[in-house]
Amino acid sequence: MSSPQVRVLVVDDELSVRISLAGYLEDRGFAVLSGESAEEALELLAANPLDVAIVDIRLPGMDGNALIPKAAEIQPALKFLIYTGSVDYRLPGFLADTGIGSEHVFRKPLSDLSVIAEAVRQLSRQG
Amino acid sequence: MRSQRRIRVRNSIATKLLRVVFSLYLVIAVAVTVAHMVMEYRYQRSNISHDLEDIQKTFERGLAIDMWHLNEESLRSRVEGMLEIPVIVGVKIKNANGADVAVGGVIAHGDVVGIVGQRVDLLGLSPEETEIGEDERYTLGVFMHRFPIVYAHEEETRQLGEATIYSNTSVIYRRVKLGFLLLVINAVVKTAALWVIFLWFSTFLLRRPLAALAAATENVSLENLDSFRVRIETSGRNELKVLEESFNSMIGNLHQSLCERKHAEEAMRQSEQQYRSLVQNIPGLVYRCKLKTPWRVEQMSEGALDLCGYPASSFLEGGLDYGDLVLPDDMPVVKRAVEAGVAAHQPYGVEYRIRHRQGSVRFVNEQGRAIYDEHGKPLWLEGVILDITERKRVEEEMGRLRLLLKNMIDSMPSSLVAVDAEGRVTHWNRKAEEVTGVSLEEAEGQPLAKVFPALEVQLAQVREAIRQRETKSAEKVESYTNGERRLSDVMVYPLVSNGVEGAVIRVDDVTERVHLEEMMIQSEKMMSVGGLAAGMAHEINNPLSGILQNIQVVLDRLSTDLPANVDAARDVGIDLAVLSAYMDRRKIIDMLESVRKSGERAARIVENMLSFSRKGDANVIPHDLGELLDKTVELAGSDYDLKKKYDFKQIEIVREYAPDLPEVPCEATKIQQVFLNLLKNGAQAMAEPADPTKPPRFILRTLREGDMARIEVEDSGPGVSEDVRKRLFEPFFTTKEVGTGLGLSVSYFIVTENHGGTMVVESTLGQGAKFVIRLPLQRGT
Repeated sequence: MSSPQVRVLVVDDELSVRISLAGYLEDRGFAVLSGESAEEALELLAANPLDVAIVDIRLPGMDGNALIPKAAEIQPALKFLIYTGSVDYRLPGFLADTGIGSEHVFRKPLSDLSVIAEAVRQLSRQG
Repeated sequence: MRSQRRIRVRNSIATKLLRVVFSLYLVIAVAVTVAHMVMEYRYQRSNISHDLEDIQKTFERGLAIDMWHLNEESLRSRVEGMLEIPVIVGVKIKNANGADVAVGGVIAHGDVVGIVGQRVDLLGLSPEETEIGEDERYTLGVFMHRFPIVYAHEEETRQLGEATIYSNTSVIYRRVKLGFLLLVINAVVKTAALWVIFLWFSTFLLRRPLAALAAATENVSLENLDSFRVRIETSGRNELKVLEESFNSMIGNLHQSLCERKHAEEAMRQSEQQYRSLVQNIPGLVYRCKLKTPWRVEQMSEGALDLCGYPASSFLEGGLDYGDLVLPDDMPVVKRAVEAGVAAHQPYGVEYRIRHRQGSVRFVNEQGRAIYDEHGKPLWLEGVILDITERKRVEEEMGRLRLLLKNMIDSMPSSLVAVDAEGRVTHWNRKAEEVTGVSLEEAEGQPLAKVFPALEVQLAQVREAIRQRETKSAEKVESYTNGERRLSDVMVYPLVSNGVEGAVIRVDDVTERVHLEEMMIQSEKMMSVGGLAAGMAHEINNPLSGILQNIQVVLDRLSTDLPANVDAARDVGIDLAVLSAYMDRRKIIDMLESVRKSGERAARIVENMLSFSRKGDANVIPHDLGELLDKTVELAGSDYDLKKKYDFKQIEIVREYAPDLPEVPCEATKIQQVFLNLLKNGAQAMAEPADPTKPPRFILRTLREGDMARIEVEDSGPGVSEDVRKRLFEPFFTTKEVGTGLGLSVSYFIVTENHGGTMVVESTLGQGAKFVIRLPLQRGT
């Protein structure tokens, strides 16, 4: 681990998704924080500097789309990946404007999480 | 009148009779009287002759003596005395020498008769003395008696001379005068009496009764014939009585015959009235006319007014000819028919048109015949002409209606077949002709099964429908025409009108519709699956995601490669290699792998189900179908699942791509998914070959079919049964032990719903299957 550890925030209300994704990333050397709602995520962001956030869209309370701009307000350097179970999800324009592309959107279920790990790595390298 | 009837006596038959009778009577009376008088005259004359002879006897002696003695004086006195006798009118005495010796009174000298004075001279008188003066001639008839004067002396007789004594008719007249007068008076008196008596009695017995009869007969009239009797006043049974009887009998007879005649006349009148009414009431025109055109009319009924607008009198008196009314176009036909009928001694009948007075054209039917004399020479034509305009109109209407009905049933998209109670075809429409290839003429009267074999199985239903008078129906009846399976809906409608036994069979080919329905059902099923999937995908995807991620992390953390695992194992004092060996032995890793596989399969199912939800066609761009097929074949060759079961490369691929097929607008990934599904299915089917001699082979075809591109994927596998074929595109329907049952249905959905195309499978069991996809060349609405 020569490079500084990449800090990742996982936001997902589904426990098994959240802990397995967090576990997978930790196993691969990422520093992972996780929250089960957007509100919790904002609290975590306010307290901890992070590099990449993996955001579920359908969340109790505030949803993922609303979370991303607020999170960016708190930590403007933060990068985002969207990981959603919604089949009809389309990337809203205001998010696309911030540089989020279709390559940053992943759909559940992924039989291999390495694609997410790779995406996190790439985003963190962009700095 | 009466005065003329009165008969004058003068003119009376009695008078005439009397006149005739009396004329004859008079003639006879006169004749008889004259005869009577002539006889009387003759009788008197003969009396006078006797008298003259008596006078001879008286005077012959004296005269002879005187002469003998020449006593002139005595002779003179004697002659004087003779002349005194009334019968004698003259005396002439001659001597023996023939000389006159005495004359006196009316005498005759030869033819001359006349009066002479009395002279006597025995010596002989000179002729001058005896000459009769011219004015003494006598005209009355004179007759004489001559006797000789003989002197007898002793035995000796000597004739001394000759005496002639004359008498004449006046002597006779003098004698018969009174007798004649009485005769005439008698006759006249009798005649006059008879005349009067006859007249008088004839008046009573004849004239008056006859006059009474005449007067009576004057009162006879037709009105009082029944009661009238003549009485003639007469007695006994005589001619008048007979006349009376005869007359009364005549009146009786007259009355009777009059009654009979009245009855006969009444009967005749009624008969004629009936006949006339019959003729007049005949709806049409009854005629008698001349043989030749323009058929000058001799008799015609009043039906003419109705028929042609002209009263019969126009033809009979007005100089109108029936022939003028016949339309010139029809004239030759009428002429021919009439002439032929007349020549053949047959009734003729002809239909033609006439011009009505009001200008309209009327159709008429004429039935007639010629009347012939005993030599067979035609005399005239008789017949009746009827207005059939209405009938013609109805006929035309019926024809039009029939045509309309025929057009109507012919324009029906269904086959319509009418059959009788025996199941023989009585009618069928154009569609039935098309379907069977048998024309109506050929089909008529034929048994249904013979000309419409597809309906053979329906015969029982037809009979039942007729018997029960109920509509029968059967849906999707199978039949094969030219080896092609067709489906029909069959309806049997019994014909329930009186007098018509039979049924109408309606056959609708529903093959296409049933296919369409099947497709609709497929689509609906898929849409509902798609909708369901979309609704629950999120809910399933999250737990699935949890399962799959956790399995991955679990497997990760059991591997010996991860440094964290090694650290953790060391911390708890176990050997990872030993743990790994343990899990291998207990097949824990395999089980975890199978959990992962199951999770992945579930994920794929959800994904496939999601493709049933319609999405936008953002990625539709023209593609070369051949290229897409080739790419898919390549993909199939490297398919992991496929590879495990058989080698795709062993399958022969025959490509028959149409060079002229333009690029087809489509979503490449989706169409490729379709092709891949078909190739996978085919490969799997051919993996278990039904016929080992048949090498596995795909034939891939593209061709243009109108405004569609046709893609065929044909395999040489075992094919599918009809039951399977029907359900092949149904979601979750599968014949494979391992399979989602969604591959073909997703393919179907992609083709039909996403691309607006069609997809069918043609297959015969044991002969392989051929999937046919049609995609529109133009991306339309």
